[in-house]
Order: sequence, then structure tokens, then C-alpha cells
Amino acid sequence: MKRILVFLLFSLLLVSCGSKDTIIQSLYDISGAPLVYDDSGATKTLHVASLCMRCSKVKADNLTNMETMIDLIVADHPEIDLIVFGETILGWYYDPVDPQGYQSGLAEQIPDPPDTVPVAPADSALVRIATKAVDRGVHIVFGMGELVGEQLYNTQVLLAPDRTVQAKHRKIHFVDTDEAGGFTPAVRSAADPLSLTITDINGIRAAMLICADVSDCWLATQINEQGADLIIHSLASFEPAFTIDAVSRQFNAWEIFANRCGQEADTDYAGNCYIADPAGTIRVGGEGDQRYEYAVVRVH
Amino acid sequence: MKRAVITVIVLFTLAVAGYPDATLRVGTNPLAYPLSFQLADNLQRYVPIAAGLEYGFNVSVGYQRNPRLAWEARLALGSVHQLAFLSQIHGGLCWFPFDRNVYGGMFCKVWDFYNKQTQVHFFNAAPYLSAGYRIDVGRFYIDTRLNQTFAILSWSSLEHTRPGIGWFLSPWPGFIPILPTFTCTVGWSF
Repeated sequence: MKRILVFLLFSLLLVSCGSKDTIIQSLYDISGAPLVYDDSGATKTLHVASLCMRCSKVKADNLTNMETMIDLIVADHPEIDLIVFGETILGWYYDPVDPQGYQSGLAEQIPDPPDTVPVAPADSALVRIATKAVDRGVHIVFGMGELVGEQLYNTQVLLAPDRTVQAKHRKIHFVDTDEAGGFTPAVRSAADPLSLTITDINGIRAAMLICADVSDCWLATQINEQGADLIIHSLASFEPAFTIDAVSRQFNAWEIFANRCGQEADTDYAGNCYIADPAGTIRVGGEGDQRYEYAVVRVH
Repeated sequence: MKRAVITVIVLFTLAVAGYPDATLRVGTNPLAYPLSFQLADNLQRYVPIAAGLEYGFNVSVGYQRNPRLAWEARLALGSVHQLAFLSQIHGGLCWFPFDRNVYGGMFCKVWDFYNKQTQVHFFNAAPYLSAGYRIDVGRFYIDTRLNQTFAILSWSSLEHTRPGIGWFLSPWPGFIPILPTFTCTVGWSF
């Protein structure tokens, strides 16, 4: 009897340890044989590329790298509609020497949607990538630090081919390294398009997530209630490749999983990057070095 | 899922009929119960492997037909996390080569991973092999075993999908190529 009481007490302690806001994906989320998703009768299409980029510690190097990759994708696939880069892709995700100072040094101000990106200063990341979006006639999503007064946000920005900021999403659900980098989490609000960000690209409803946002119960519920055809997911994830995509199954939507690769201080990023369909089947992608993955998102 | 439950019950009834001297065992996997609650992150991630990937309420019914052969069915129902509910049923037999304690088993497990928000079911059927050790203390017993899945058939209620089939030694082969799970069952014999 004493042992049973100890077990029950232990169980209660475990129950009290977790956060109800955090979804911990289980092995069942990624279990199964890949299903065949038939998109032959789809009425809407979007040609997309998901980037896996090897990041330098130097911002200017990464901007040049991004521009080169954009040019390469457009050359290979002139029909491309959307190019997605990873989280805080203008530099390392985490610099252990001076995490806050480093992230602040990379950050820029970002106009609110639907404002137009200015044409100067010429060395601004936003200006350079917006210019590429216009020149190449493509939507571009990338992650970067956003400065708002004294606050620093971990933001994912969607630039349209008409040079406007079509949408931006600020990260809600933090891990320790976000806090160490000096970022401030966005406030959860269904009325705030910066925390619950769903936008329309070629008639396809796209929700924006940054890395651990996918574990946010509030955000997942909001996106499922409002409905999304596509999840644009920018990450800095070192996890190895999956057989089944848990995020697609969480929303039953397409997912673009854009990431980074290579060694950054003590962290080795495996370069997991892919595009998955609503059944959780990974259409293209896996682990690897710097590259892009291309697919056509077809929505019924 | 209902059809799978009915099939297992019918097969189990047929299997146990006509052996009045045999032993019936009813047990449960205690580690599975807390998993349907909100645990600390790392416990939520890794304890399921030690709980045979069973979540929540669960019951195991075994029928020892003779000293060498036992049938067993298992049912487990519980939330995996805030968005998903898992129903699973197992059925199979255990063979005791030395008449007691040590056994090998062959089972089939069918589970329904249900996304409560999108209301989509992901069904899976997977055969697996087990190696176990059972201790009897009077009417009380403790059964421990290792389980290894080797193949999987999957289908879904999601529109526009067709079933898939494949080898399956681990849910995350990129992380660990082969992943056996551990199950501990405690119960009573009648």
C-alpha cells in the first residue's frame, strides 16, 4: 500500500511539472508509413522553394549568399512563386560569446504590413532582399531580428514582388536561446496579425510559424480554427530528418520547412529541410548541406 | 477502430473457449497512466518508450491456455498531447519455451492517432515481436517485455489519401535506427 501511495504522489508531481501551453510532440506524431496524397484535382497551385542555408557569422556574407540562392532558384525554376529561408538567417542563430549584442547587431526595423520597403539604405537586408523580390517577381520569406524601439523581436517577414511587406510574424513560443539572444516574445492575440499571421498567396491561405511556435497550443488552435492550406515554417533546428512530418499532420496543411546547416559554435545543424503535403508525407527534402528543395503546392 | 476491437474480442473468445482449467490474467501498465497528463517536457518525450508507447487508461487480458502458450489482448486509450487522442489495441500470443517465466511473443497492434482539432484519423497496423519475463507471486504477477515493431500499414480519414506500407523499425530512424520499447504490466491471475 505504501508503494502505491508513493507512486501516486510521484505521478502527481509529474503532472504538475508541465506547461499546458506547450505541445510536446510524441513518437506517434512521426510514426507511420508515408501515405499517398492525391493532389491531381487541385484548383490552386504555388511553386515553392525551401532553403537550407549555411550561415556565416557575418551579415553581409549571408545577404550575398541569399541573393545568390534566389538567383539560382529563379534560373532553375522561372515559375517560382515563393522562396522561404530559415529563422534569423542573417547570421548565426546563437552566438555564445555575446548572444544579445550579436543579435542586436544583425537586427533592423521592419515596416508594418502593407507598407512598402524603402530603397535605402543600400546595405539594409530588408532593402536588398525586397529589391530581389521585385527584380525576380517572387515572394520571399526570411527570418531576422526586428528592432522596435528598445525591443528586439524574432521575426519572419514576407516580402511581395511589389516591394511591400505583405506580412510579418513575431515569434511567440521561446526556447532558452531566444531569451539569451535578448528577444522579446510577441503577445498572444488573435486580433494581432503579428502574432497570429495568416496571409493569402495566389489564393492559398498561408500561416506563418517560427520554429518552436509549432509547440504553442494557443497558436496551433487558432490556426486550426481559422484554417490554413500552407504552413510557412522558418527554423533553426539541428534535429535529424523525419520519416513523417508531424507539423503537416498537426494542421493537415502543406508545410515548407526551411532551415540551416553546418557548424555554428558548439551546434551542428544537420540541414533538415523539406516540403511536406497535408498527409504528412515528405515530398522532397531531408538532411544535407546548403541547397534548396522545390515542390509545387497543390490545394483542392 | 471499432471493427478492430470487435475482431480481437471475437478471436480472443474463440481462443479461450473449451479450456476450463486454463488461467485468465488481467493487468495494466502503470507507467502509461501519467502520460496522458501534462508532464515535464523531457518526461513527456522519453517515458513513453518505457511505457510501451501506451498512453492513459489501459487494460491487458491474457489467457494461459497451457504452460507453454498464452493469448493476450491489450487496450489503451489516452491523450498523446493537447491536440491528439490515441486509441490502440494489441492482440497476439506468447510462447513459453521452458514452461515458465521467459517467453517470446508475436503481436499485432492497431492504433488510431486522432487529431482532435482537424478531426482527422491516422490509422496504423503494425506487427511486432516481444521478448519477456513474467514473475508470479501467488495470484499477483509482474510481466516485463521488450517489443520491436518491424513493419507498418497506414491509412487515414483525410480526403485524397491512399494507404501506405513499409518496414518500420523506428518512428525516427534519423535519430535512432532501431527503437524497441519496454512494457511493464502488473495484474492478477484467476
